[in-house]
Amino acid sequence: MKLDPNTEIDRLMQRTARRGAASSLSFSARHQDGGSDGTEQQHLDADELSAYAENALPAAARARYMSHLADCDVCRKQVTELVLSLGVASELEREAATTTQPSTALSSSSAAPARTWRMRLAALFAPAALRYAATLVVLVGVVAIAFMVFRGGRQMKFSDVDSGTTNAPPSPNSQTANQNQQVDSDGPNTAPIPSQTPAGTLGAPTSKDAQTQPEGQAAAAPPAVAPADAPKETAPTTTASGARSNDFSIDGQDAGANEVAGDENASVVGGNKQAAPAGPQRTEKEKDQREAKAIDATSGIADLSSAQSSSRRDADKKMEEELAKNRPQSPPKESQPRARRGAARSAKTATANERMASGEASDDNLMRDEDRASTQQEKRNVSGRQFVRRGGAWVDTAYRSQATTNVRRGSEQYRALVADEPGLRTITHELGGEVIIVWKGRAYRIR
Amino acid sequence: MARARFLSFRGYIARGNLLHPLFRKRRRTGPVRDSIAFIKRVNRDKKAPVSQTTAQLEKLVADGAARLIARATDARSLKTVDLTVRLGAGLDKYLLRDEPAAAPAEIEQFFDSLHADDVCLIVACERGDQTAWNDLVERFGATVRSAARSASSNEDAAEDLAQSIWAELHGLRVRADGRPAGKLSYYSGRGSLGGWLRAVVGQLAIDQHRKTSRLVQTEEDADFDRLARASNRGEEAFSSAQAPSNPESALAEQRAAGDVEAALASAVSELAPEDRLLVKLYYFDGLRLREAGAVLGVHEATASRRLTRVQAEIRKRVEAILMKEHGWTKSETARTLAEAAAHLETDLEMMLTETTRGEGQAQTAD
Repeated sequence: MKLDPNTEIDRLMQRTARRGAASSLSFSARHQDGGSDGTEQQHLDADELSAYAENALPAAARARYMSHLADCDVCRKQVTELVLSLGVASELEREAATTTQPSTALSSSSAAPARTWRMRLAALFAPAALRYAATLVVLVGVVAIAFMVFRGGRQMKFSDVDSGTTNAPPSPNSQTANQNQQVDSDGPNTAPIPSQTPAGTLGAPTSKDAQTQPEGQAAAAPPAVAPADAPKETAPTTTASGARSNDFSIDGQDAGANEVAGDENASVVGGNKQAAPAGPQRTEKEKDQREAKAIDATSGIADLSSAQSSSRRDADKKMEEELAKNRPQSPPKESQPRARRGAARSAKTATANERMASGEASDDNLMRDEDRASTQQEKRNVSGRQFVRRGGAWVDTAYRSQATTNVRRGSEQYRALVADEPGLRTITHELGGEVIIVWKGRAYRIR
Repeated sequence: MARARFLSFRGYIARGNLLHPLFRKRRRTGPVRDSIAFIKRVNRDKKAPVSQTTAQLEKLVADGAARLIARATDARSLKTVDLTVRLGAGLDKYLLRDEPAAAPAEIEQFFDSLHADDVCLIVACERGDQTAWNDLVERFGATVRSAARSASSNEDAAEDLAQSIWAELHGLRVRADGRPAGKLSYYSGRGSLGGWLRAVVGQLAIDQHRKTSRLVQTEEDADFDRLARASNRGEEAFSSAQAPSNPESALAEQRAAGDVEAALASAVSELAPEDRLLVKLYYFDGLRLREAGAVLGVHEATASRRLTRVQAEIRKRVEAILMKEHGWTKSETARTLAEAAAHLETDLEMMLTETTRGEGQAQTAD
C-alpha cells in the first residue's frame, strides 16, 4: 500500500528518533559551536527558562532561545517540564476559545484587550446550560406566537361566519309577515301561522296557538338575550346546525316553542336550544345538540349545508309518512278537544318536523344566499312551470309579488290542497323547502 | 594597556560583575550611571552600536522602576534606586542584546510587562527583609514542594531537594555588606516568581542527579543500556534475516538506509529554529502535538499545520540531497523512501522479538 509522502517522512523520523539521543544531536544545527553532547554549551538559566516557558519574552529574545532549545536536549527538557507544569496548553486553548490572536510576550502583562460585543456575547453564552436554555426559550416563544396567530385566525373565521349569518336578512319572511297576518284571517280553514319577525317575536296569535303563545313569547325572550350573551358560541352552531337542533329540541318541546323554533331567524333557533327542555330525553338531546355544535363548528359551512340537505330529505320522508298515517286517523276537530289536542300535537310534531325541515330549508336558504349571492340564480322546471331560487325559496316565475296564502306542509290545509290539486302536490314534492307558486290565479306559499 | 584596562575597576565592571565590593566602595557615580556604563561597555565590546544615549537610558530605567513600584500592590518600602540595577540588567539581557535600536516606547513597555509584586518581594528578600522572606516561604512553599516532588523519585528526596532550594535562594555565602549572596539576584521579573522557582528546583535536581550519577549507575540506567544493546543486536539480526541469500542487495539496502538517514539529518538541521524545535519536541522528545504546541506557544491546531508543512519541507530537502549528492533519480528516491517507510512496521515487530531474545542472552551472559 502506497503511503502519503508526508506519512513516509513521518515514519522515517519516528524510526530515527527511536534509535536514541545521539540521533537527536546529529540533527542539530550545523552552525552551532560546541560539542555534540551539549555540555560545553551555555545552558539557559532559571530566569530564562521560566520566562520562555511563560511566553514572557520579546520576540527576538524568544527566537534566540528557541534556536538554543532546538539543539540543546537538556534545556529543552527543562522547558518542557516547566511548560507542562504551568498548564500552558490549557491556557492556550482557553485563549483560543475567547480571542482570535494568541498572547504575545509584550502584551501578556499589559491591560486586557478590548472585548467586542461579540466576544462578550460569546463569553455570556459560554456555559453550555445557558446556550441550551436560550435555544429552548426561543423555540417556546416561536411556538407560542404561532399558536396565538392560529387561534386568532380561527376566531376571526368564526366571527365572520357569525356576522354573515346574523346579518342575512330574512327578507321573504319580513316582507310577507304582514301579508301573512292578513291572509291568515281570510279563511277559518287556513292554518294559523304566527307572523315571524327577525326579532323572533310572535305576530297575531290565533286561536290555536293562544295557549302556546305565552310560552312561545317566553321562549322568544330568552333567545333574544341568549345570542347577545354568547353570540360566538351559538351563532355558527345555530346557523349551521339549526336543523339538527330543531330536530332534537322540537321533539320534546311544547308546540309553542316548536313554533318559535320554526323561525328562520338564527337567533330564535339558537334560543330554542338555549331554552332547553327538561327531562332525560331532553338532556340527551342537549348532549346531541352539543355534539352537533362541535361537529358543525369543525366541519365548515360546506359540510353543514350537505348535512342539512340530507336531514331535510329525511324530514320530507317523515312528513310523507305522517301524511300517510294521519289521513285515516285524523279525528274530528270540534268534537274531541283532547283528542284534537293530541292529534294536534302529533300533527304538530309532524308539522314541527316539517317546520324543522322548512326551518332547515330556511337556514339552508340563508346559507345558500350567503354562499351564492354572487352566483347565478337557480332555475328549475317542474311540471311545465319555471321556478327560480330566490331568497331561499323556489318562486314561480308567474308570481308577481301578490298576496300569498301560507300553507304548511303536513297541515290539513295542505293535505286538502294537494288532494284537490295533484299537480300541485307533484310540484311541492319535487321542490323541497319553501315554494311560492301561483296556482289557478292564487299565490300559495308552501313551506 | 589592554591588560591594565582589564585589571582596572572599569574593566571589572565590563566583565559583568556589578556586585564586586571594590566597585561599590570606589564608585563615584550613582548606581544608575553604573548600570548605564555597564551597558555601554558591553555593547562596545560586542562592537554593537549604542542606540540610546546614557541620559536617555538612565531616564528610561528610572521611570520604569518608578512605574513598577507604583504598580505593585506591596512595594515593601522600596525606592527606585533599589531596582534600577536589576531592571537595567534585564533590559540588556532580553531586549537590547537582540534589538540595540529599541525604541523608548518598546523599552517602556518592556518595564511595564514585568511582574511588579514578585520583583519587589525578591528585592526585599535580597535586602534582608525578614517579613519578605516569611511571605516568600508562605506563598511559594507549596510550589517548591510540588516542583521537588516532580523532580524526585520519592518523598524523602523531594523534601531534601526543597530544603536545598531555600538554602540556595538564601545563599550560604554572605557578602561583604552582610547580605546573603544567593540566587535571588538572577530573577529579572520577566516570568512569574513561581515559574522561576520551579525552574530553579529543576536545575538543582539535575545538578544533584549528575553528581550522583557519576558515582553510581542506577539499576534503571543499566536496564536501559541493556535494552539499547539488545535493540542494536536486533537490528543487525533483522538485516541479516531479511536477505540471507543475497548479501549484496542487503548491503545496498543498508547503504541506502544510511543515505536516507543522513539526508534526513541534514534536512532537519537546515530547518528554521522553530521548525527544528517542533521536530525535536514531537519526534525525539515524544511529546504530543498539544504539548509541543504549548512549548512553542501556539495552539495544537497551529502545531499540527506546522508539522505537516515541515514534513513536506523535509521530504523536499531529502529528495534534493539524495538526487544531488548521491546521484539518484527522482523515481529511485521515491521508491527508496517508500520502501524504507514500508519496512518500518516489520522493523517494529522484529525489534520487539529480538529485544526479548537479547534480554535473555544478556542475563545469561551477566
